[in-house]
Amino acid sequence: MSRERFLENPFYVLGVRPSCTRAELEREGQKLLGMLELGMPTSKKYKTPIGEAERTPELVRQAMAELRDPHKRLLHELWAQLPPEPLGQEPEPGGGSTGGDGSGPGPWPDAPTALGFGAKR
Amino acid sequence: MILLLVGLLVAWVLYKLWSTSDPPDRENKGEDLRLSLQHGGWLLLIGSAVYAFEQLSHGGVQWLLVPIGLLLLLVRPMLLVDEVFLPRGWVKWTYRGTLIARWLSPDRRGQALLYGNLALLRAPRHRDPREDEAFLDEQQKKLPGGAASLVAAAMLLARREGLTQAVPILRCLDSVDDTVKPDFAMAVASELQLVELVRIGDWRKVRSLAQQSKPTPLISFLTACAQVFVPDPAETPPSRDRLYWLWFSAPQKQHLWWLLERAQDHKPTPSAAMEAKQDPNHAMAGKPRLELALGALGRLWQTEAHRVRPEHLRRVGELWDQALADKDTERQVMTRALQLTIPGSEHKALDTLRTQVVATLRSYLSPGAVSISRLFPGGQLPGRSVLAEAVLAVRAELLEQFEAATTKLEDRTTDKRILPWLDEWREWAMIRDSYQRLEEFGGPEARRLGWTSLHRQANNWACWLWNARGEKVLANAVFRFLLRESEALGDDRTAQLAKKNVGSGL
Repeated sequence: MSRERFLENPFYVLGVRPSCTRAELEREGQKLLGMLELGMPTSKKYKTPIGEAERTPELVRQAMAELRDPHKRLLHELWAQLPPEPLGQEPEPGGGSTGGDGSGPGPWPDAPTALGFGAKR
Repeated sequence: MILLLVGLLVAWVLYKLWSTSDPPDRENKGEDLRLSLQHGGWLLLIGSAVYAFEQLSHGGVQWLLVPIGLLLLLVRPMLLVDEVFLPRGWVKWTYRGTLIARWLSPDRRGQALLYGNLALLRAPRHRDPREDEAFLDEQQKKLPGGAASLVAAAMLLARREGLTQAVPILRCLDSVDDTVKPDFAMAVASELQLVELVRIGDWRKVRSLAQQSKPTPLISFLTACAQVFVPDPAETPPSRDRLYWLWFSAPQKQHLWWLLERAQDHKPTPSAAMEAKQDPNHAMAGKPRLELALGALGRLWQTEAHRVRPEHLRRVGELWDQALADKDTERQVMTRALQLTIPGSEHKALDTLRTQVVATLRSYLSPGAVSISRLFPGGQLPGRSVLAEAVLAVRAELLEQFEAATTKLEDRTTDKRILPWLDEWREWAMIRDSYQRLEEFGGPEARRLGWTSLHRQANNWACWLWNARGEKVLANAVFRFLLRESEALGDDRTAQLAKKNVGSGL
């Protein structure tokens, strides 16, 4: 569902804000690549408004390449306007975990197996 | 011996009573006999048990265990199948056990086949299923192609390709003639469909489907849970005790315990609180419009597709329309374009952003779960709106998919290309699914658009099935569906033709 626009947005991958300079981008990218190579745990995850994601060297290199193109960067900036903090659940209907809105307990992937209608794993 | 004679006498009297007290057109005398024997069996069992306990004090009555065991089987003929063969996935034992235990039931082969398939689904993973599958395939060939066969085939499909693939076929059972649609097969079909809905967590649909299904212990429990999770203001939801008893009588109850707890502890959110939460002015204060629109879209991404409600999508659409038309957004993009030394590219960036937002909304609308009439209750699509653009794109896409499916069917009918019976059903299920999604999403207008093409192609195909292929159950189901649709749409010409075709029988 196009979640990648947030999850793989180069600004979130590099952990910088859209207003940062080209030099800052390069510096942050190189620093992250070094940290990933050393296997530092703090570098392995990054935050986005819709949750945490896993950072890989490929993703960092791809993000740096994307942001070197000013046209692409402009578009990514628009998608990265929100700070990388969880959005929370407040004003939207239908998004709650349970409630009188017809939500119920949510998906139960093992239901067919558990209830005897799916091949056992 | 006296007890045996008394039991047989009671069974005979009960049988006679049932036979004479009911109207003469009573169809199922075998069922009466079975019930009579069962009651007689209970009496004998209780009598024998009392006698055995009395004699225990004198010792040497072990021989009584044999008649007691036999009587227990008479009282609960499916005991061994339900408690031993089926849970262990012993397919052949289950099949043969059901054939014996249901010796007086009509369509016992169909029941045995269904139970055999259930056993196959419950077989341990490490066991090679090929021999059992071949055995069931062989048995299926002996069975006339009624609903039981179809449900059994759907269960095999569920095992091989997953329940999602089997459910569209089961939905087609609604237009199958009642004479080839035994209750037990329909109960299993309903349970399969409900389990699939529980799997995806769509309790709204669980509730509506459960209301149309004949209750079984599992269906009753799931219905009660759905009544709690999706409350109807017009009725009282089931109490904690009622939920408990329904859970207690449900099969596989150890796996349903968590659901019982959720249903018992469920607290419906007061609607007033929901409305307050939905107040847009509450969230708008002081934030740039683009951020608000991004936040709304982010929350949409955090919501499972089937839980997205029309007002949610409407709100996201409105916020994006405002953000994209906002002068501040335009100014911000223009400034950034200048700073990035690409002056003049702000319009292209905003156009691309708009296209991406439309594509995102489209991906939420594509399953067809939220209809146009619910998105735009007035019936009028707004002019320049991201949501309206997404809606039009999805409607065109659904129509295109439907046309492609019916054209494929037409080509095959013209070329007289024959498919195995199950694949014919699968193709019909796919067309019906596609038609239903078009109708649910686009409303009456889209339904009419699809109807002309559906009637022509499906009618020709069904006539070919009936005349040349002898696939009368499927052909009749198609004619019945076409009749239902033509009556619903007020199309007298096609209704008359469909009536004539349905009248041809099976």
